[in-house]
Amino acid sequence: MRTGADYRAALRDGRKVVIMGGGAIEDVVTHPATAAMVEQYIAWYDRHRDPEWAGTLVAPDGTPWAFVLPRTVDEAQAVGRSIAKTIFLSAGNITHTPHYGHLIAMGVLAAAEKQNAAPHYIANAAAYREGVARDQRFITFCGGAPIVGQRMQPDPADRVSVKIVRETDSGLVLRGQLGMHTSPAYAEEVYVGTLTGLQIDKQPIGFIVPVGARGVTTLCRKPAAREANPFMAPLSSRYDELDGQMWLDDVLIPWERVFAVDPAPEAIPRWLRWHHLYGWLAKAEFTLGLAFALTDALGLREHDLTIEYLVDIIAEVQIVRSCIAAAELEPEFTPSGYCVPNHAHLAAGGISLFKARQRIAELLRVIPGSSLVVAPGDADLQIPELAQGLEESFGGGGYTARQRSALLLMAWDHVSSALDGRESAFELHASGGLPGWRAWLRRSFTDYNRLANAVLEFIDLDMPEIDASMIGAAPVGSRRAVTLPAGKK
Amino acid sequence: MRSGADYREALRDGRVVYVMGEGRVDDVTTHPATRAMVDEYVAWHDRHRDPAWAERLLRPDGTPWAFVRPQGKDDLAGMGRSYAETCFLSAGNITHDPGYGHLIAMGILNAVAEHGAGPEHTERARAYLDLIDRTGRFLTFSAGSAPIGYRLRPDPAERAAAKIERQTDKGIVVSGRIGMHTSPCYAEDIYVGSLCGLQLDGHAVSFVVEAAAKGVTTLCRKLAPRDPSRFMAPLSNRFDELDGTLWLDEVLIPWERVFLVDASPEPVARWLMWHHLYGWGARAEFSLGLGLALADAMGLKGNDATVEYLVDLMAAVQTIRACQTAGVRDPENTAIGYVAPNQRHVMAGGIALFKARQQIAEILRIVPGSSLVVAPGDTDLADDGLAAGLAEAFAGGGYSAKQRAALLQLAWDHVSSGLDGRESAFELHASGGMPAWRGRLRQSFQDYNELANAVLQQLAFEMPRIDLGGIPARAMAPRRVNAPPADDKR
Repeated sequence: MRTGADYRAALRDGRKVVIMGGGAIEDVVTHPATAAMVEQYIAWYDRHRDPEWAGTLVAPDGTPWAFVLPRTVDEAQAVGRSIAKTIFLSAGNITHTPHYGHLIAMGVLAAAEKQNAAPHYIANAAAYREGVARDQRFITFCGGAPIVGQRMQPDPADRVSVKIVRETDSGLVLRGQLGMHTSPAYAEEVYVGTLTGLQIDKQPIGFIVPVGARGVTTLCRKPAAREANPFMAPLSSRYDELDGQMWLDDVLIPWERVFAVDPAPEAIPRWLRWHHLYGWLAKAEFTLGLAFALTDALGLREHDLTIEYLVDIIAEVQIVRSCIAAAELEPEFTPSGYCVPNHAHLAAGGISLFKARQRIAELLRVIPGSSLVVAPGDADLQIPELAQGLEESFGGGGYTARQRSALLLMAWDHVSSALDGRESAFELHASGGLPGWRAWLRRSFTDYNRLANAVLEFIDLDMPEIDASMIGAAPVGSRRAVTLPAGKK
Repeated sequence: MRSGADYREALRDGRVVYVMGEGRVDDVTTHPATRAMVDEYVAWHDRHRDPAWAERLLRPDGTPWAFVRPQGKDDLAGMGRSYAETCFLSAGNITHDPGYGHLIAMGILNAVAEHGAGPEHTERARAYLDLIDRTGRFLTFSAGSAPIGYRLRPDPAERAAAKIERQTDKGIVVSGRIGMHTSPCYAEDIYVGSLCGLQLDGHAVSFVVEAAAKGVTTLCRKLAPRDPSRFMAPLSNRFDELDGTLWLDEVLIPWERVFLVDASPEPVARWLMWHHLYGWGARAEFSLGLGLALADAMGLKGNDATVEYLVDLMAAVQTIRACQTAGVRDPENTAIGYVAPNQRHVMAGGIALFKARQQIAEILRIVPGSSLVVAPGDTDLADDGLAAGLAEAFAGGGYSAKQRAALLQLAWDHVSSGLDGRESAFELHASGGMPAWRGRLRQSFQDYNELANAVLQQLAFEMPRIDLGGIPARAMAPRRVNAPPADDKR
């Protein structure tokens, strides 16, 4: 496994990064806006060399589960377990890791095989996946959709994110601007999907662009506003995974990084939504863990209403756990034999959590009572004229005031901070939001005709044979169209 | 597997049955209030001899899945599939059948083994399970709680459902009134659980009573009101599984039918909630099937709002399917060596469906539009003065008026009938309702301390070690206590 130090060195590749509100970043490794997340990714790599984590993160043959292409239920479960354990460490906030990148590469391979455009595309995708698994570099994902300004272009032909400037023997030269994706400042490569609309040989294509390539500029969003003090913001100060955009200015994409892929919305994300659901589950489990801890810290273990609140959260967590377990235990297999968690079960879990997440967050605001709002910081606890009073107010029952405050402030940071707001806004869009997951369920549900015709058996008449398969086969709704304002350009 | 005819004959055993509002039923196989359900149970038996059903209902060695004692997840999967397929045939309305009885008998053995009164008691329970599996006798379940009048008695000592009149060499002689349970007039045996309040040598007692035993009277609830026409009420006319109460008047319970168990009924119910969830799942799947059929019949397959309603139904159905799949493929071992579906997954599915069921019913009322309310019956369509106009109003798009009306009436019967109301009222109580399912999840969820302490790792200094083992260890919420009125109202 690559070391964290190797990863850190790889980020010093001349990349051009700008952060909204912060200007250009010369070195993401050391800049205050990005250094904390770089440290988290370093820890991610080094954790794979930690003997305490070996049973969770490394296959018996020594391969990190993060870079295994699963072919069996057991392998899929082990890969899933490694995702779950590592995402929990950031309370579900770090959703893009080198593991996620390998799932992208797996999706590219499976999508190329499905499209079967020409043998070299499949060979390139296979070689790329193997290369990622071998050197364990960090890839992230961009759907490829245009940004709002591009979508407002008067000429419909210009309403695209990227255009081909020219084709050369070496590859494609591209220019354009790519919309939201996550962690580009920390990744080494970005997969850009078919929403660019680019085609080669009349085939929709995706491509890989190195973040450090000449002509690439990464623009990260503003950091989530937070207290500088980790005591006040133990999560925000460490786990602000920056989303961003990417500008391409005559960037050469080598042919071996251009892939003709199945443009279906399930194709590339074949494994990604599994990872997404683990991320959401980790956030929900962290919420549940916080609720348990607060129940203890606030002396509410015997309080019936609090326990009912806990059961509310337990139920939501367990539903998602059950859906993931079902997805892994009853998987699908690609023609090449890759094991894919069952999409219908995953979609059910995702939809369930989309509906529950607001309630989960509110419960965590309810359980600790108003102490959540007025908890002091560590600096307050050290002010001589306040210390004794705050200790009387917040200490006791086996907790010091500092311990209880720390827990309350972590809960605040988890569900009442700008980081929490960013997570919500991001997840409502990143994988298509609830409409996307509902469409995904519609397309993966398999019993339309069986159920529709089975109920007709209850009627003592000859009835028309029903074909409702069009509901499942209907394409995912088109991305929302932008209407140009009248008289404005 | 015995034949349906054998089962039908077994019901002519001299049982004493009343149906509220209908009076005494001399023969449940022929009485209008009960014969349709007898026919359904006859069909249940005969289906196991139908080659077209063999793959779904029989294990490869020929054993009906309904009577398998599961040794592994493949057995659970086969059993679950058979429940799903057979429950669907009644749109989820027939929830008690001989297969369910087999699960009760396994639960009795499990409860006796967990209680640990001694090997002779375990062997007694195993012998009864052997009998059920060998004969296919239809056993149903009563938790044993008392009816409301008993619970309001002034003397707390008189509030139990049953009492032991005396002990003999042959068994115990019991009198009392046993509260709600399902299908007693179609079953041959009734298991009466520990909530009946009987005790022997400091042990809680449960027992099995024959429906036809001397001194037993079965009182079934009133029928779900329905139109007598099968066209108008295709479900209500066939699937009104009658709930009832049981009167015991000095009934001899042989010692081999007396089982010492814990005071909690949960160990007996070890496999039952799983079966309940298949019943609820079948009902939800039937609703989805109707939603799809109506979308076709009403020409709404391309209507975006309708498709979104259907996705709502799919999400509910698929969540249950996922939880059942996880429950079966991630099983747990029991004290008696048989595997059981993972309680956590099953409870999660049940809670999800408890929350979704009202919306499912409402969506099925929405999807067909107001045609659902005004659809004609077959006699209206045959009326010379109405036929042409009704055909114009309801035919077209590949459906005759009769076909479309039949489908609409089926939907009405499924989600707007007395049968539907009974199903809701029953399920809100039968397995303890939502509070009990939540209690079971609370008890079966395992990661209290792991999660609580894991979040503390985010804090960079020492924190108290948290132990929340008391939360899952808390008993299920006690049954609600009925307060007798003040003395002047007694």
